[in-house]
Amino acid sequence: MAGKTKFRNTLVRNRVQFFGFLFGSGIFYFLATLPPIFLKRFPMPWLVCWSDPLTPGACPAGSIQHFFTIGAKGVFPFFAIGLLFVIGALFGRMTCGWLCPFGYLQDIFYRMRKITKWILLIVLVFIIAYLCWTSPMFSGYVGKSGNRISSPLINLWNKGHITEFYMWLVIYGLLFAGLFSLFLIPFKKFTIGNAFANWGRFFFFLIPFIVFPLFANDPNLQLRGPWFCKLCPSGTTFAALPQFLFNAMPKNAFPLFGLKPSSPFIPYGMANYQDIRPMGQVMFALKILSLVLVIWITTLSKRVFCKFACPIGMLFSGFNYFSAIRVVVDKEICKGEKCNVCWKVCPMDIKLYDKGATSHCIGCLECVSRCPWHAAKLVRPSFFNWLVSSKHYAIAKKK
Amino acid sequence: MPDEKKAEVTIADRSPGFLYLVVLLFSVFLMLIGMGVFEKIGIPIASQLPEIYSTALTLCLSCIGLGEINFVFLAMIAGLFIVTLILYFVVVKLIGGKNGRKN
Repeated sequence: MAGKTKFRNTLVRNRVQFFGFLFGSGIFYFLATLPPIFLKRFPMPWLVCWSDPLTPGACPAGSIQHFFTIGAKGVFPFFAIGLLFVIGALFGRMTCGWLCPFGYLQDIFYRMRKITKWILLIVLVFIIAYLCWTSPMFSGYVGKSGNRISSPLINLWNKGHITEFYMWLVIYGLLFAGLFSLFLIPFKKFTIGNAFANWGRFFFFLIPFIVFPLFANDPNLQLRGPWFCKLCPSGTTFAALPQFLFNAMPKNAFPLFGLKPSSPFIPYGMANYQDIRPMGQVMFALKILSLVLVIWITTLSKRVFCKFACPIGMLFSGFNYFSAIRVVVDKEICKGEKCNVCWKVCPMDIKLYDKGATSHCIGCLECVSRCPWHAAKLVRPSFFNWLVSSKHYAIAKKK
Repeated sequence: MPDEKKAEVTIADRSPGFLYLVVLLFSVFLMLIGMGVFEKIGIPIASQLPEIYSTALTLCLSCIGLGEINFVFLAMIAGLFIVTLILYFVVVKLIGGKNGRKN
């Protein structure tokens, strides 16, 4: 029975996560074009970049930050906050555990780290080598007027700047070889403590997500910007890389799977045949570097980004204390350190009985279905019986 | 082996409560304000859905790492992050910050 229950929850969650990944990352992009759905009007309750050329929904972090940057004092994002609070009040952080595409990717990176690491490394090396070749990132040369001109490696080669070409080739080689060598060193796995994670996520929630979009006015551009987006590894994964790779495709490949050049979801530049690849400069390189670092850390510790930096997870985490569906632990029967099954199966690497663990719980229900003492229980109102039945999960009863 | 009998007789004193309902209603109210429903009755907030929709259809250069970046601001964020980490270690050193354990 216990085996079946364990198998069932993991199996169901894997399938739902896979569906969430497909939905969030774009397979159902056409839904957004079907009136009156217009899913692009609705921030999704998970972290997905709205610059993803194929995603059907809007990014919640981007939506909130965008309203903060409007006008002199910003505008309160009533709809985005209200929608996220509705989800939070009902499900707490469960969307992180069941639907978030970037969370799913982190789960995969960690679970299959031995195999995935090599596949991932090969793919990343090819993508980054391609990006170095076609985007200036750091490379360039000094023009006749003494100005520095950014130029990708391919242009340095084609235009005869051979010395600069080899210089930047060596610099890129050393930089990325150094970064990728991190994957080859056998570092020990580690767990981020709840208190340390709280400091990290409060920082990323307050500073780049709220304070900078509200108050940091760029004197050159005369506008404020979504500073969390500039750092977001999910945006790099689901928007930056696909945008660049789409641009590499031959123009006559479109319409691609129904993706016409006139579609609003067409990658930037395709409609007017403008190539965006030469636009990827230092900021783009920083995003790539930060993504590789996040992936590397994810192979050593579970869901580091969700635990330490995600502002949407932070927004939802407060709801874990009173949401309609939530996980509670009966400390009278919990065996704590002697058992630790909850810690072993938890995708967030938390011990359910630990202080502060509740706010990090993503409601994956692995602990509820696997706790041998039935100390981890699920609280849910009766109208959610159809969603989580007592047949498969330990349900906390009213006193 | 798990103590099945003990587990069966122990009941967690939890129920969903009503706070989530209060928050749910408040959140729906926020959503309705954001949809411009109360514009006619004096709350001067227009629907925010077109703004989200139009922004979602515009490529955000920040998200994909194009566009300009203010390196002073970036350095400020990095500096504040380092200060936060130092503060964390100082606080842990002074008042202790280990997570609770149950043996």
